[in-house]
Amino acid sequence: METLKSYVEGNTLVVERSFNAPRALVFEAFSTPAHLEAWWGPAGWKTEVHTFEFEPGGTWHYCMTCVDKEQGDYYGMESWGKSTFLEIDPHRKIVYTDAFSDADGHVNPELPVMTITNEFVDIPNGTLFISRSEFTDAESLQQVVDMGAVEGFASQLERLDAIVSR
Amino acid sequence: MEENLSPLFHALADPNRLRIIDLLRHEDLTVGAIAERLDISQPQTSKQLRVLYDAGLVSVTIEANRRRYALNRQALKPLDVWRSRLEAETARLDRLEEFLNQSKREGTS
Repeated sequence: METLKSYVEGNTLVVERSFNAPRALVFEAFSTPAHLEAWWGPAGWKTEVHTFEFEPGGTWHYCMTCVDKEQGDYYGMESWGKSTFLEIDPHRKIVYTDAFSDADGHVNPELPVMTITNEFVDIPNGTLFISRSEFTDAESLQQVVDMGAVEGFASQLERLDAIVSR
Repeated sequence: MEENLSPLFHALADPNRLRIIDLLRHEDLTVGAIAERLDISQPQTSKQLRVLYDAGLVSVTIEANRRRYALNRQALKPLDVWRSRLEAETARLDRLEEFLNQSKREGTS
């Protein structure tokens, strides 16, 4: 079983996970549209990459479609994402913004944008993947809070306990 | 809304403070009642409550000379964001691992 470690630094969620695979392969999984389509979307969602300009300033425009009838109201729903690559260090690091958009690639200004920094580090027998998801400001964070406000206090604390006691 | 979530996480990163939050989830309580249920001293309980209070997690009402503490549920809402984000991230990395294992088997590295 691979280990997962996560912690919070300010408005940034850091997730670390090791993979028993070479660094080049893990990096390719993030930098090749066909590979991304194979694993990116949530369970039961199909990902189609429409634009993929893998260079600083380049655009990554994709659509996730729910193809799982079990998911009820979500079935058939489309969710478009638009990312802009900010920094690419081949086989080491990818920095990009993550925003909600429409099919034409217009970013939804009502919804928050996050900055994601993914790093790939050699470790014995594989690769350590470090992902930092940063909310641009407290206001954006509040929007997501308002949008995704879910009750579930007990599991919240369990989750938190798991986070802080790792 | 705190600009920085660290004080919130710091406040919760203690077993006794988590237990206090868990108790206050059900009812408002005085310091004495909390100390008794957690089986820790009153000064120790007061100290932990102070940390929770400073992080905005609990509110206090002073009745005569007794201090009654209540949970400020609103303050815990940002945790939902991190929880859902972490769950999504974890599930995604599980799929990545599956994909990597498959790629290795097919020799397409």
